[in-house]
Amino acid sequence: MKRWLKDNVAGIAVVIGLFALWCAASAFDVVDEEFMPSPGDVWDALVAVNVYGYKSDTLLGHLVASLGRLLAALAIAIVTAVPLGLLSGLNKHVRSALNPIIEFYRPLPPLAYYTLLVLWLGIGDASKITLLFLACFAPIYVACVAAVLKMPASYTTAARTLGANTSQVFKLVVLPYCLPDVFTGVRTAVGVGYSTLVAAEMVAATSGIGWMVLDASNWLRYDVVFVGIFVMGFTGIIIDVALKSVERRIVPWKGHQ
Amino acid sequence: MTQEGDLPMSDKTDALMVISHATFDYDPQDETTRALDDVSLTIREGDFVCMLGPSGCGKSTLLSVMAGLREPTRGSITFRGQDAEGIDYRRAVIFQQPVLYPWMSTYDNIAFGPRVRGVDHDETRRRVEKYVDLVGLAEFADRPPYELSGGMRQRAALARELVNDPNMILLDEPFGALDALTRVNMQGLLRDIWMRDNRTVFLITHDVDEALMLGTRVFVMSSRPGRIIREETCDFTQSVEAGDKDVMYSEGYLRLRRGILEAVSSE
Repeated sequence: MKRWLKDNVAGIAVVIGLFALWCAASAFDVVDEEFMPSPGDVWDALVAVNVYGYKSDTLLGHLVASLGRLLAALAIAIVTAVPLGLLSGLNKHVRSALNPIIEFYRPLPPLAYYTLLVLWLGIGDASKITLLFLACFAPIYVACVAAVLKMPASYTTAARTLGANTSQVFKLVVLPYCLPDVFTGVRTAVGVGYSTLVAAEMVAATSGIGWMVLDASNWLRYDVVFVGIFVMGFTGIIIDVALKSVERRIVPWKGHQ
Repeated sequence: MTQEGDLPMSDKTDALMVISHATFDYDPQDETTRALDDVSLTIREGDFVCMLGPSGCGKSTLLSVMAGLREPTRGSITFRGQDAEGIDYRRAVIFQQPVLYPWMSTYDNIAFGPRVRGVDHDETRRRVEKYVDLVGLAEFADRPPYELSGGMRQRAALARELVNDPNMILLDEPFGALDALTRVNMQGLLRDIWMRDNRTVFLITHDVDEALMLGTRVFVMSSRPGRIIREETCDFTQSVEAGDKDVMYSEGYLRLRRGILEAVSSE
């Protein structure tokens, strides 16, 4: 703990400094009070949306709605992108078949095609999960392809000279070799998915943390907007920390290959 | 391609591997990519063959052809009397950089061969423990390989091949990346392993002393495209095993060494 404090002294100072700046800015009315609620107001709003909820649901309810969509999309993305990515890495024909699709849609801003998805799939969760799935798929797929391509040929050669057949080479060598990169891909996907999610809920939804922020800003409830932003930010950090700790447990050899 | 008449009869009876007129072009359409030029070589059961040559001469290409990793463009290779096609665990391969999987313990790395081949559990354990002891890694078996030193990793790689009980061990400059002291230890270990079970070893090296101190037959390869330009038979390795530590200062050794160095440098 002491060590941690020492290493992160600058970070802690910045956080405290920003908080102090916020307190000062709201205390001296630098910005109109309505648009810049004080820390106290935001705290009160946090308690209020927690206890009484915001419109259709409580804060927790909105958060669960958002995370549920994200997790569903992420699960589908992992189940499809990992096998397809590994296969693409191993086989240049599969790679060349999938590349045009991935390369085309990957740089598109998700909201550009989200309106189409809403038209086709409706305003409910189906269009949102599809959008998030598309956002999560690309980073995982790309990480898997890159992982297979950077694997030294000696890794598979060694296994084959020891008597392993093709499926054993895949299961015992290719898959574990790529696992650290799969994790990196998943972490990127969660980041991309999370920001896409919030944007999607801002376009069309009646629940979720992104919707809460947009709706609150329409009603000039900037204290709730602040609550929403803080919750999104901290949730993002917590998800990444959790993924990192799972990663450490599942791929302790990361960086040793 | 016929092999008749290439070899005296006495060689054929106990020949483990017969390479006849092997040529290898990286691009079969382009002769300038030739790495091996008409190499013929018979390796008998119990031979310790050392292949010397300048770097880039095609030694490693020869080894990969012998291991079944590559097919010769022309010529043939038989192993135990049959066409040597494809990869075969009976021809073990050890590279300069040992390939140990970081997601397995050292023990599991060594047990890899028997496990993928479906050798039963108890037999696998018996064999792994035997060779882990032999290479002196008993205390380190549970560690991941990245916690081992370079020499220990190479010993683990050796043990991993030995548990498969191969007929032939092919080594591509296995000790090149090790420090001098570790290298001498590893050479001793390899000599012991070769002698104990009368194994057949094919070792690539660019170190004349390593070749002479280990090999019973030492070949010299020309620069690219590689062809065999000299063959020597020697028994210094047996002298070392018998306890004669000064054999590398003997007149016979020095004369042979000088001759080989001249052959290599004239290339």
